[in-house]
Amino acid sequence: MLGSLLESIREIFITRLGILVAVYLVLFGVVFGHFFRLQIVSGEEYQKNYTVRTIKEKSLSSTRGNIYDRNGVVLAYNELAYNITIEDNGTYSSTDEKNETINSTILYVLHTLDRNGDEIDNGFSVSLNADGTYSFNATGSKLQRFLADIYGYSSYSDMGYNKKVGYNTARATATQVMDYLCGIKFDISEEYAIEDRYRIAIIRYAMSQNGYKKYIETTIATDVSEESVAAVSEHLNRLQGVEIVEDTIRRYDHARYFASIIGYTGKISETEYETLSKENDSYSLTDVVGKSGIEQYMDSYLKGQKGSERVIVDNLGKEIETLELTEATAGDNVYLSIDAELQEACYDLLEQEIAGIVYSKIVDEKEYESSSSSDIMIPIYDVYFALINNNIISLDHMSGENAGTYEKKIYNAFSERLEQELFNLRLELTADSPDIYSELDEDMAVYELYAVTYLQSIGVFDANAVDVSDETYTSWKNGEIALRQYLEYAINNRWIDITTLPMDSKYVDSAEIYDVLVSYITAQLRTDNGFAKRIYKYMIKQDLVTGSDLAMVLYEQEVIDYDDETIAELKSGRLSCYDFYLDKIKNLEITPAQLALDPCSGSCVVTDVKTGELLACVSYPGYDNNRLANTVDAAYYARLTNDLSAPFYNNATQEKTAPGSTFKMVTAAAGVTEGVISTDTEIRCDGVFSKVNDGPKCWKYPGSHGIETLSDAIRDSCNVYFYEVGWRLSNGDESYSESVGIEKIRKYATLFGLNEKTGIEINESEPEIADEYPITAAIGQSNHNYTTIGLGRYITAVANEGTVYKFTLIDHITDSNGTLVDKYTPNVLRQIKEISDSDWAAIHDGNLGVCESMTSFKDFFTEDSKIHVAGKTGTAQQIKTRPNHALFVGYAPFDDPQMSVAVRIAYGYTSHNTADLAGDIFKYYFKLEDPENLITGQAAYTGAGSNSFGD
Amino acid sequence: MKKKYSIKDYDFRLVILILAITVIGIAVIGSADASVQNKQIFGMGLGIVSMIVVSLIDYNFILKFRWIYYVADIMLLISVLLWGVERNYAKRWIVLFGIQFQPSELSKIVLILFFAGFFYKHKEKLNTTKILLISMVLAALPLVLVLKEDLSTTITTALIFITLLFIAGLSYKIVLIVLGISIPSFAVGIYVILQGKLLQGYQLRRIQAWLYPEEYPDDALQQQNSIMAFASGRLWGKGLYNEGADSVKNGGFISEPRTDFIMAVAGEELGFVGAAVIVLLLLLIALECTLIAIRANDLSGRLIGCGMSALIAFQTLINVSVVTGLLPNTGLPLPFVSYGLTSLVTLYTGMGIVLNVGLQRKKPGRG
Repeated sequence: MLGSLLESIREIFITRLGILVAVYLVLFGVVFGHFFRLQIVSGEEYQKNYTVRTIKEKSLSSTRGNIYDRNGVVLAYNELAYNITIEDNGTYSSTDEKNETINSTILYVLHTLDRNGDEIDNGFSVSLNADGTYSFNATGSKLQRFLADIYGYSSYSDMGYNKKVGYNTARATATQVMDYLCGIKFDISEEYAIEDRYRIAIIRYAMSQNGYKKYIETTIATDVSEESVAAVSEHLNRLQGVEIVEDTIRRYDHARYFASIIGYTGKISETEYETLSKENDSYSLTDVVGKSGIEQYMDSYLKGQKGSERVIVDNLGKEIETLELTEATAGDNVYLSIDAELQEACYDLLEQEIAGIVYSKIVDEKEYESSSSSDIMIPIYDVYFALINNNIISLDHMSGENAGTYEKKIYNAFSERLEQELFNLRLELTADSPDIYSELDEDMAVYELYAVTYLQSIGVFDANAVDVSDETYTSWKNGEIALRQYLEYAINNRWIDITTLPMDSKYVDSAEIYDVLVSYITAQLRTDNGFAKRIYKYMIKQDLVTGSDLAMVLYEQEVIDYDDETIAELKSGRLSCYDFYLDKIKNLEITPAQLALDPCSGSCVVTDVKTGELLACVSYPGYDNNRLANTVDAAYYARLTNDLSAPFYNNATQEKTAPGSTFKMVTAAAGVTEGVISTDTEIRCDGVFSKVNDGPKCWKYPGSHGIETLSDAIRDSCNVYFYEVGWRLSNGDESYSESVGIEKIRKYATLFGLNEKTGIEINESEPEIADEYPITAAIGQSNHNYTTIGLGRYITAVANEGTVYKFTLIDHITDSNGTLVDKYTPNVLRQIKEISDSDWAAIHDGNLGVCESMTSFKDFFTEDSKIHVAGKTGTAQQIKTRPNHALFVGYAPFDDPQMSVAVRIAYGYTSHNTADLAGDIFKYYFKLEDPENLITGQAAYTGAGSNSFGD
Repeated sequence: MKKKYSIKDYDFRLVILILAITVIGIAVIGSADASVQNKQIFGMGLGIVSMIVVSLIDYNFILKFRWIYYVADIMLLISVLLWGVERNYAKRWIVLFGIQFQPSELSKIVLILFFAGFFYKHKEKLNTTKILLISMVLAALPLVLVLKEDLSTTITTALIFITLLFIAGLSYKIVLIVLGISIPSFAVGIYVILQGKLLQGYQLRRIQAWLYPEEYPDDALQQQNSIMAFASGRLWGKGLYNEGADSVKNGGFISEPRTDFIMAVAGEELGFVGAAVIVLLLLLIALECTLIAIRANDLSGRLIGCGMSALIAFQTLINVSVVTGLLPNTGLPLPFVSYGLTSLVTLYTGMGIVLNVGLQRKKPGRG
């Protein structure tokens, strides 16, 4: 009984264990089957997928070639720099954790950068303003593209009301964009400072833009300091995804001397990419390319050949094996034909000379009435205003938190005055019987005119809609009506675009529109720098802002170095304000380029006349291209573009003026070769050329030169002699024909290559030979327009008796190992055969005479001087209200010319100034004077000599 | 109570199986993370000593103290919740006397011993409501404590408990009723889980990621990579300790390669053959335990054998299913193979008890 019971229990157990075993077998069977399916059936496929996932193609960037001068002095090279990058390569269990980790990692990096004075790369279209508000810094299609990217739309036209954010994203404000990024998008803690939130958002956004491409890191900061590198590398293990990457940045030594030639590099723009990739498919959107100058022109040589690599990467993107490697080839090195030492000496001498001119022209007066171009002086009050007008003193800094005592003093006075003037302006604009324009006080007239110009510049006043023949418009132009009348008329004629005004409704009458317009103008002008400058102008005039206060601001803003002694003297009155500024200008602590008064610029070209090589090609003022290459210093760029001395404009190759008397050798060659004169022909100068009505005068008028031969006429720069040659070329004594005369002058100017560009590799303006008034064209006036480099080619041909070269800035190109790739030699464009040897001799004698008779060159004509110099001065008049242009072209040694010099100082008063400069350049070139005695860092002494144009 | 054991009753076949699988495990750990290989060898030594010692102690003597184990276990589990150490987003470890270990691993063995004793004592009244309710409550307590941080251990432990209950003689009527209720409620449970109402955070996401990998790329990635590694081993594998760039493991794509995902490494480097051998060895260990259970002297011995068998079998099944994508991603070590001293030593200890059950086997004719 008991036994059978136990037996049955046992059976049950066995059965239950059996069920368990059966369950095991079934389940394990399923697992085995699954193994088989994965490994045997699909194993190969999985392996293939894996391989595809981990192979990465990489392009290896090449090292950009260097740029050297003709003697191998390095001008442009690459320097090792460190960038800090971040990559989203962490694994997180939640989005919150991910945001928190990345944001705090970036914050740590930001604070490290801040401590060491490094800045993040910021190309973001939203700016954080000083007062903590946001604004867009992009407009138009760039802004639309930006908004579409931010909210994840493929195009702007798809945008509209977005449920997730609860507003129309197409019309999102900068604040909404930032709230979106800091909020739902990247969840940046509100506990962070606003500037940190802003910067974190920029970096997170850049990361998200890179996110879809695997293994691409985002650059936080470029070219950071060693301190930042050390601080970040120390904590790399807890900074997820952060890396320090080695990179090269472009450096320019001797920057300001060569910026006008070399240009600079930068990240390729979309348009550049489109153009360049048409010629060469190796360009990519992340490349650095030459943006201007030699960097741009020689880019294809300099950039080198990119390499490529096929690698296997692990899950963090680290390379574990290289499959294929094509090394990058470094770019070629470019050697310029320029001699760096000479270039720098010419630049410094040019600056000293210009400073000397400005220095000699400043008078201790408030205003100066001049009767002609040659006696224009610079009242010291113009210097005061120039400090503000050309942004030597920063108005932003004056109103900012870090303003000094004098800055605050001036700014407070300004603010008061601004309110008062705006009130007056408003009063004038709302008066029932306002004053007509021409009866206004000078300052109010300036403010009103500025208001109109301002409205046009921002598109409120549509200048294109104006009918210039309109009666009211003409009255306004002639100052016969009041601004109120003009603006009301403009509203009625729909010259005012009311959609740009802050108005509630479209259906308002014109009186209401006018009220809105007036409020709008006053509100806008309150924050406008241009208007502020005009206020300052009259405050300076009325001694409400004094020169000595401005001097103190120069110290406070560190424009000039702090100097207790001078400040004490200035404050006590022992040093007059006038003397203070003269001293600073003399010592070049305030440069003529900073003041941007006349003159503020100049140029100089030196050539080897035997080979046609360019030895110097100087444009003053220069700029620091280091700050434009690599990452653009936007503030510096803006300063340069607004600088009244126009540093981006190459005065040697782009600026054109009339050549003045430097042209007379062309006329001489034309006269003797065409047979209208011979070298012995004697022409009498009575001070006036009387063969035409209202005859032009010689520069010596009321004096005269008397009887002159060709050499004498060149030596004395006698205008009457060359008027006569122009007259004879025009067949004047038989039947005067302007076209015959001008054609002959053009023919000889063309022979000297003045009709075309010189062929250099950088931007060059097209020259213009005069096409009217052969008589004045004969003395280099009329409408001649040449560049300094064009005149350099011309004087080179005069010196070598007729060889006209095609210029090049390049001497040779080598590959990175120094093997010659290409040799550049100036080709002979033309050999002028038309002019006989004796005629050349007469012209040269004239040139020698020029220098012999000038004090500028007296050191070359002492008893034991071995080198004689020859040349021709030129003073050209273009505007009567501004000084004349000063030019000089010359060559040396006279017996066997080796080199030529062409210099020009626009608005440089008189050719004596350029002759002085050329004399110094000759001395420097032939080592006749210790360079230290020439390049003194002080404004040059300019004699009191003045002469009128045509000398 | 001293007992006389006969050396011929010592189940050397089981010992050899255990040693074999542990050695394979150590070899694979060496490939996954060489730095911990020696620790695992040390753990194996410790386990062997523990197994031999425990195998010589009468399991009935051990079972006497079952309530002490139970209470101590509950206290440990509570202390994990309070002072536990977090690793990989789960709080499962505790530091006692300078040693870091995982109480949930220990808990499985404790429950086997406890219920082996408990059901043996109440075997006559097993199918009464009272005993069933008490055992349910006693089982539920540790399960709930483990649930929050360790869903997979909870599932394994529950499966062990059900096995024990079934083997102890739960009436088929109740089995059928339970099945009738649990299958539909399981389905409902899954539905609720997917609505996100029951499970939280990573547990829910892992289930959703398993079902919809495209929508949860980050969470699905771990399993996708593991499957890729496992499958790419094909028949013979890429070889242990290989340095090839074609290896998913060398590319760093396998997370937790030495612990929960060691099967991905084994599959990749030893291929189908190696993976099958490992799983087969584990199945044989589970079957050997069942065999000992069949021959056990009494119900408690039988339950110990079956409990350990179930532990090995179910944990193996869940682990390899996760690695190969048959189940959602849950963290659970592969018995004897994954790196982890707590798991290894407790398993060896449990096997020691099973060996003792084998030593006291029912002799034919004595029954």
